[in-house]
Amino acid sequence: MCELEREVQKLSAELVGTTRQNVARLIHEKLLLVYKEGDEQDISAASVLKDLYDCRICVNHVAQVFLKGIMRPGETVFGMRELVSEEEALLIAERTLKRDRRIPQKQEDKGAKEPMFLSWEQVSEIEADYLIDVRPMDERVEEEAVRERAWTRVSLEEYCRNPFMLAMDIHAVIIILCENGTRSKLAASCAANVGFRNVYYTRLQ
Amino acid sequence: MTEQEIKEEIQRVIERGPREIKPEYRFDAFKNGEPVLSKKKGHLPAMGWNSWNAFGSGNTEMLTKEMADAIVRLDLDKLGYRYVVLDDGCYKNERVDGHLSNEEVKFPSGFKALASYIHDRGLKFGMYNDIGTNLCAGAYVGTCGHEAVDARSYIDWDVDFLKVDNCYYLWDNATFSDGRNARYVYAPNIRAITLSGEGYAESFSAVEKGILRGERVSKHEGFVTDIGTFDGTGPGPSPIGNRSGELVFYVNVPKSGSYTLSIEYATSAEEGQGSWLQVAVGKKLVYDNFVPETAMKTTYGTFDGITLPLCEGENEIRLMNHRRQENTLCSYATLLEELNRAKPGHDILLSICEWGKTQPQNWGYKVGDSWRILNDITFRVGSDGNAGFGAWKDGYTPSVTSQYNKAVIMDSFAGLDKGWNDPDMLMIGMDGLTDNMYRTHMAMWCMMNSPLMLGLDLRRVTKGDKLYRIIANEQLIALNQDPLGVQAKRIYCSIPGEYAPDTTYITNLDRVDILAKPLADGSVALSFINLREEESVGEYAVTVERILAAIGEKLPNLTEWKNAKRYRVTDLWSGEVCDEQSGTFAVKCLAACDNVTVRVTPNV
Repeated sequence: MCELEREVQKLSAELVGTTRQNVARLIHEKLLLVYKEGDEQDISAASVLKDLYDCRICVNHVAQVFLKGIMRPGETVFGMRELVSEEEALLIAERTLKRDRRIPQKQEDKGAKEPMFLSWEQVSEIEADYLIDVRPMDERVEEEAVRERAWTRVSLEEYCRNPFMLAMDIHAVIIILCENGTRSKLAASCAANVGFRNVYYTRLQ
Repeated sequence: MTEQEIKEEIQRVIERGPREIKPEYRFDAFKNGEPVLSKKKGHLPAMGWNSWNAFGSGNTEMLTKEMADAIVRLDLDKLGYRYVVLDDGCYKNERVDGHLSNEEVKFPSGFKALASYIHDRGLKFGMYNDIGTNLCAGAYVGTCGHEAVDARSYIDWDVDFLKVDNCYYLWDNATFSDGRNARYVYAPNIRAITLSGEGYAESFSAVEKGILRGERVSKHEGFVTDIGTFDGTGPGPSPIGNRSGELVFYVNVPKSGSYTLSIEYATSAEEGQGSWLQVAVGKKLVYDNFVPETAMKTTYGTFDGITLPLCEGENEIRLMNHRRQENTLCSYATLLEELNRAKPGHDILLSICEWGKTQPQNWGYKVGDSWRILNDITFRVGSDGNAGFGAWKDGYTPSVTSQYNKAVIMDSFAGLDKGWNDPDMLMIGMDGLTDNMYRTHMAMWCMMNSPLMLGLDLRRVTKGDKLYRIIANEQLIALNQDPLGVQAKRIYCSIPGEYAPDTTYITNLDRVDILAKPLADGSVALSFINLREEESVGEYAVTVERILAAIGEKLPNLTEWKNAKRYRVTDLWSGEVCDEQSGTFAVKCLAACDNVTVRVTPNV
């Protein structure tokens, strides 16, 4: 067995039966102190993990091992207090020591994304968490197309002041609608600017 | 105590359930303006150094002593930075004979000796604990159930300040508590009530006859849900207004007497639907407990164990659950009660750190000196040799602007007779922020009367250097520590529209804000703040009329202001002084994330 394999086995043995949050801390500290591997600077993509903020002192440890592709037990839940099995421990140890074994971060997960325009046909194909209608009241002719799904009506001004007013999770899928696409585009860029990563806009005409 | 003994004890506490809530801790008493347990008021925002942002769990006795020495060497104590606070990571993992004790590798001399070291330098000593069973970093030494013995320890250790966290709290679905604990903080979904007695019987549908009071509580097909207080930890909801909801019925009964209330309900253990119900007739609380759990969250049961004393004519019957706020207040009060018992007349500052979860702006003043308003300002704290990382903006709470956006509209909750909104510790000196951001961070916190807790390794600071000139800006600190004790009000925001700038929650950063703060000597501090990460090229201005309309009543010299013909304007960063006669105060071209902060004095 070569030196590296022995190191993997040794590290793996340290991790078995420990909670994932503790393994994340252990691995992150080793990366920093022993292997001198720097942190990922933008950790916002890790907030896709629903339980990321459950353990306030673990946030950066979990975010780093998640974004580096060392620990990815699930794509949306980390499972902070679950115990690491023998199999998982070996995988984590390998990914820690062999960079080519890591799951590379998807390009689309990195940084903020510009809102995208969707045609009315595309809108019906997307499963959205929030459908937001920013048309002013006097423009709100209830067309059948709009009535098919439950669009939440808010004023453009109010929405742009606080895009968190309806959705708090920046990974929520949001589609914004207006008459001709001007206002919805503006609202969508307000949402993207405060951190929302999956915002689309559309128009009726 | 072993881990097993601790677990058994927690189980006993869970079985006992949360404490009975005394009337003075109830939701209905939140607005009476009365602190409890003789809590001393009149403190200005606390200033000092806290170990968390600088060293996280890696703080040590040696580092703490070096920070205390640095405070004195840099004369920061003379500017008001007096509290040296040990955050999480200083205790042994478990209690020793039921007592808290020092982690012996990091803090070999014990806390009493460290307190003496700090006190000998004319500084004050602060420590940390938690109202839950564990501390946030995991140690099994939370104060829950140990308040008396812990209070005794803190008094023995000569503690002057306590920061008290909210991790592993048993009665809320906080960090690492059982998710099912949501059952404590929301009422069940309600379908209908029936009143019977005195020859009268009538049913009322919740959807048709119920009145929704407050926020979030909502009617659905056949039931009312979200009866409780919603969580304020994240950046979404505004802190202004009623942050909870009740279901209210107005019922007319033919004569005074005892009536039986039957409730059709369904319990669950998730956000919006729980198992704990409070029933009140007007302000009189008649039921405050669990109701039997239903088989499923959509299976309705009937509970008729409640007797209501009703008067002839109209009665207000309230179905509610304010326990999220009440339990948390009660837990902080228990600790204060024991500190009072251990040392009557003490003046230990209590820094409430429940992260805005239970809307402490409504109740924090009763027991505390400040209350955190959101989750942490950074989750990437430093260590010895690493400055840690802070951000200007973020989609959650860890950034200067996430904290500022919420705190800036919370001035009505703060004051000398109440306490202070706490947008968390300073990140000046951390990586990730520019000098302009540091300066604006400092100006914001000073204007908002936020506690000023330094979070950097002070060995990196030399008198007169860049960091020093920010954290030791006497003129800015004077705003924070001004004896009038009034948090600045936002009187202008550049985002167009018809809205009140002082109470509207704004998270869009494409803007410039202007804050105004009345001061004891009759001058007014104005801060022009560019939230954008690019230059704001326009002119941003406020008139005397606008200033006086917003904060005039707080000024000790309103007439002088009204009659003034000219004003002396002192720039608190550059020290430059100029005369202004137009009655309009304007700033042109604010650099990215920069601020201009001035002190305006009227000269008749």
